[in-house]
Amino acid sequence: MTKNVYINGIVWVLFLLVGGCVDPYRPPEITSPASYLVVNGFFNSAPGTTTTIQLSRTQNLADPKVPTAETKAVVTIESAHKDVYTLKEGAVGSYTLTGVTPSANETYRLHIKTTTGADYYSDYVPVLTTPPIDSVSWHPDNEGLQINVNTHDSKNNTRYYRWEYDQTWEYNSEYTSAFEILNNKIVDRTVSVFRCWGSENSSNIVTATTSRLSQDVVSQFPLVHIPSTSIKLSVRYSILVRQFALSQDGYNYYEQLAKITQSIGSIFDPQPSQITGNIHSQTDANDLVLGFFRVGTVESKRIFITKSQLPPWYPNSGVGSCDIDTLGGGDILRDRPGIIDRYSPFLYLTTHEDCLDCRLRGGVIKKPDFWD
Amino acid sequence: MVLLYRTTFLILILIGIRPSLFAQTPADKPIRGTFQNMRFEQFVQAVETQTPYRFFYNTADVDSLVVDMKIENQPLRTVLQQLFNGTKYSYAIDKQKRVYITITRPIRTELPIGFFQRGGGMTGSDSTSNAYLTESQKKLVEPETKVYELGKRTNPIRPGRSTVAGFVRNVASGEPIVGAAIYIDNPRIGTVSDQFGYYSITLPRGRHELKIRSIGLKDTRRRIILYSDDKFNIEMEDDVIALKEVVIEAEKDKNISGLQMGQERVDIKSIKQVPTALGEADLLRVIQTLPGVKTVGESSTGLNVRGGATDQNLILYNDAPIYNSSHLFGFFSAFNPDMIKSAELYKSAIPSRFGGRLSSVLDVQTRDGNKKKFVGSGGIGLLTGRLTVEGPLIKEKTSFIAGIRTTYSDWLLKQVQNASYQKSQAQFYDLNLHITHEMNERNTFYLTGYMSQDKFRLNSDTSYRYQNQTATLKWKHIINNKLYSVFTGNYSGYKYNVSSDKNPVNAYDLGFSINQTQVKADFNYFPTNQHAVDFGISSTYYKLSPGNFQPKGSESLILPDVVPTEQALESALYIGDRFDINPRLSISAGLRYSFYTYLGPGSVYQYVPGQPKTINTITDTLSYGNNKSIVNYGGPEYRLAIRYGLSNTSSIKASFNRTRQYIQMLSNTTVISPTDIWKLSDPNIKPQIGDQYAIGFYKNNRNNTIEMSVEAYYKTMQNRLDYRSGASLILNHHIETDVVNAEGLAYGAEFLIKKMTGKLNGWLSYTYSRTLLRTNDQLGNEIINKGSYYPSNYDKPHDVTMIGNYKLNRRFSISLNFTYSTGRPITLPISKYVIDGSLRLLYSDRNQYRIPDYYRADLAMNIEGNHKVKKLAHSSWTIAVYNLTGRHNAYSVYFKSENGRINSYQLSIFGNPIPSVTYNFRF
Repeated sequence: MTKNVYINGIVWVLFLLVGGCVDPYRPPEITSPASYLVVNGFFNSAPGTTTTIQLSRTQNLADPKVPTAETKAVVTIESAHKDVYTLKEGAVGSYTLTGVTPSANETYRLHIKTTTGADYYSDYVPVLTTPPIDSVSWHPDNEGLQINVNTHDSKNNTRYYRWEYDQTWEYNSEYTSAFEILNNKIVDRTVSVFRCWGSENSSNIVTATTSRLSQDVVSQFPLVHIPSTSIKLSVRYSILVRQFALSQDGYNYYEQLAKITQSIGSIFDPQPSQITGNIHSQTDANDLVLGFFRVGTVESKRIFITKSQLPPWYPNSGVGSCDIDTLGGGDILRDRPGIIDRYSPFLYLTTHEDCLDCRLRGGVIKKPDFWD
Repeated sequence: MVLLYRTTFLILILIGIRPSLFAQTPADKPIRGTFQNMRFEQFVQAVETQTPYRFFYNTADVDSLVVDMKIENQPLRTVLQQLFNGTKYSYAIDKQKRVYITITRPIRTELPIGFFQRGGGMTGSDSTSNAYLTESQKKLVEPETKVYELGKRTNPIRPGRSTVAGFVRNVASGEPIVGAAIYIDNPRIGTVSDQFGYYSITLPRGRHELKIRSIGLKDTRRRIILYSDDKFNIEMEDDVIALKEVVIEAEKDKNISGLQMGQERVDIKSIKQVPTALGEADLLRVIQTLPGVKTVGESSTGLNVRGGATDQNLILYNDAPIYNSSHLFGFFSAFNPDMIKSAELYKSAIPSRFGGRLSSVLDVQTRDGNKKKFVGSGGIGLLTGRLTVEGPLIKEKTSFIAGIRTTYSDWLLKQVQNASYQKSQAQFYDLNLHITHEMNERNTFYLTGYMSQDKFRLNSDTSYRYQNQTATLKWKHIINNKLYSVFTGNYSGYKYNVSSDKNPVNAYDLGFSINQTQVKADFNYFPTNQHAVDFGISSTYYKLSPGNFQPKGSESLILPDVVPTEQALESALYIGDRFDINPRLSISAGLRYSFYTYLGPGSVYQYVPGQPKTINTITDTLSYGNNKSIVNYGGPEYRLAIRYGLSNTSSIKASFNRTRQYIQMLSNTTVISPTDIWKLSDPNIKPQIGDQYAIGFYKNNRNNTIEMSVEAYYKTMQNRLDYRSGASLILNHHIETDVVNAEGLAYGAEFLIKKMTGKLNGWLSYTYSRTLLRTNDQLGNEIINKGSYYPSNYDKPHDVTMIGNYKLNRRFSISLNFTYSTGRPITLPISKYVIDGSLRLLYSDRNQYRIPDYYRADLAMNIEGNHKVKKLAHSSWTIAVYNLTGRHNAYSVYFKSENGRINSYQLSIFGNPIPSVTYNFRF
């Protein structure tokens, strides 16, 4: 025992050293000298799709508002052979183009002219067709569920990949609820709040390259790891994976963007720097443009995983212990707990509202369209 | 010495006091001469040359005594009577014509009658004073009192000069003593023993008292009569008992009288005083506390000397360069403290014998093994254990010292019942061997081997491994007293390997290696005592494997990728002379000429002239055959230093040096990381050139016990490399497309107050310095910060360091360190924006902000075991607390986009006080 305490002490010291210590940091007042144009979106080369380009402006770090949209700009896509397609502004700052299918052997660029007269051009980029996703595979490990993506390009052309994913999961309340309080009266509940769907979009940049492999094969590339106690795995889980083929420049752009905003902080990290993309100002070299314009397709795949397919893991509901109390109507109207059901003519079984109303945990009760 | 006489004196007093002067009637030789306003010491010297009398006194006692008399053939006794009449001084003269000057009471020169009968029939033939001395004291006294006649005896002594040369050694171990000052006071002529303990001094023929001083050793002196050139070896004793004496005592007035500026010397005793994070004495940590030396962070052993980058330091371990000087993520340095004798850091006025790096030279010397008996030492700390043994192979001729150091962190990790810890691994070891063989008086051979290895895997599937290996063979040949030569051959290799095997499809091995072999011949020539000339020639062959990426296992789809090997030859010729024009003015001038050839086989990409170098602007690839010269670089490197002594206690110095560097480390991380690669200069990457101007003022106070100095420097660097945003350096076949050419500018001033004697010793330094870079690529590869100067990663303008040590008593001392520095520059985000649905950051221009300032205090206690001479092992304990106040010093600040939100963090390496206990032993 003494020996273990000693050893743990030393290991504590060792990991104190190696692991260091991380504190939140309040930076000094930083203001940007200017607000720069931000370009989102790509020219979709799949037939019959709509291309959307969104324009907005950078904000100071402390600015709590939503980004300002860049409205009334003239946005065009130009081919190297001088074809010009003009995008129409629908919602503010959102410019769309429908009915134009780019031709595979052509290169295109984006041209933006803002109301202030500034002209921005992207580099000419080729049309990249994304190979389909072979499978989205998953396997449980000691800590939880690992979800991987597999794809390949038999022509060995693609080489650079990027993925996005949307997660959706069904979860249930701890108890069903037969009554609710409405206008200070206990009434029958008409809409069930027992079954909800939560969702989350990927916010990290996920890229991979096969450029160092002899074949263009992405095998078991890890996308997400879900801890075994996560509520996402409590009933049924679904993930939609979207795959994009990238050019080498595009890959470098996303790699660098990921490097400087996702993984900085360990001892051997590179220093951050300004990453802009392939769009430049024609009028002023100091006027930065953020974003990367590309032309290509998207491939996607959705899978479902139900609880019965997984090891017997116990999810942590996140609502604590749902103690049940038996209360009369007066007490209920005063304390406003959640009501499970009637216990006797004058008494009700009650518990915390969180344990009954799944919406309080971030989900919605409307079943997504793709859920069966 | 003073102590010895005092002891003798006291013993004599204890035995019995006779109040009157003891009179004898020897046939006194008369003295003549006019002594006007002469210091007593000069008077003594005059008398000693005229007569066989030898004087003994404590210099401090007579420093205010002035002789002002005219003597016409009078006996010494009368003269002294006259001189001391009415003063506090007394004198006594014994049968051997020794004159003892004391205060208030005269020394008895004879024992009471019958004294020896009590002692058991000892004869009285020995000198009276020696009879009272213990064995060890006797050993010391003899060489000091004896008069050595050097050279072929002539009578009279011929006028002119002769050269004395020999080794200064430690009497107990036979180990040579480096940097011992050997000098005479009048005229003031001195020299310093070199790295072999060898010295050569040219003196006017005649009678002299040679004084010898060195670090941690007792001051000693030798009386010589110099007739002609001769060899003369000097042995010095360890200063172990006298705590009042010092830890560092070498060349007490060296910063005034020496020519060298911007040089710092640390020996192992001061290294052991400075507290470190894990308790083990660490050379590089101590170097980092010196003025003008900075480091980016706590877990880094990288040195930034006067605005230089971490790859611009020539770190030599017995002449062989060490490429990666850190162990275990930089928490330990590559040098085993038990093996080190001393280290010298040259920040400016780099001697012409060194070359190949821009900013500094750190010359680390190992100890020579004990030539007389087998001894060992070692230590056990929180994470490491070490053991060193040494001893004679052939007594008095050949000795060895061998050391091993390793960590048991790996074993500790295995003990923890946690899966993620068990997947981790962190271990290192280093091995040292050093053999000295003294074939004869003229020929000595030295062989050094060094190997270190690190291996780690931190809770992941990727394991890292790196290794340093060096070997040095040195032959020192003394041609004559005025000329000696050293022939050296050495090899240094560094390699690392990264491998991953979690997913068999992607399992890989990535390797890098660099090997260099060097041969050189150095000559030292002392034509007169005013000149010390050194010259030599060296040649270094580099072979570098910049990257080798291979699949691991049969399932792996990894395509092998090998960056072709590079080779080059760097040679240099140098000559330098230290010329003491007069006692006040000396000049050291040197010229080094280096030649560099980048050799085939190799392919060199050609780029569109006038366009940025990118993959798209490659126009052609030129191929060169094996050993064909691809490109040549070279040029002179000037080294100049001037000293002017303003007084006995102050001087000013100025220096200029130019250095060239043909190999550079590529790293876009802020600290030295094990995966940093080295790159030889090639047609697209030009060698770096540095020029440094420095000026300094030096003043010693209180009898050379307090040293003060101010040095200022201005430095320019050409062809520095900085990196394009997001540069990728590993497995890059065309590095030139990812780097930008920059020029560097550094300037600063260093203030130092140092007290190295007494119970309280240490130093306080303040440094103001700036290091700026500017991209000057006309091709516009990438203009960082619009082409204006920006602070380098290690630009920390203000720096205050205090190292203090207080000795409570002989066994117990306390050290306190304090460090403050400005936070290093960083690039911070200035704006946020949304791309592909998540929040991202736009960063400012490079290095426009700084992390919070750095403060740290450390405390250490050293407890020595008892001082009994005979016991099994001598032991000591070091108890230290690093980062006493537990301050969370920011190592870096970073911003992270987490689940769509931007959070900012600061990372501290040490978030708590780090206590440690180390047990050291010697046997």
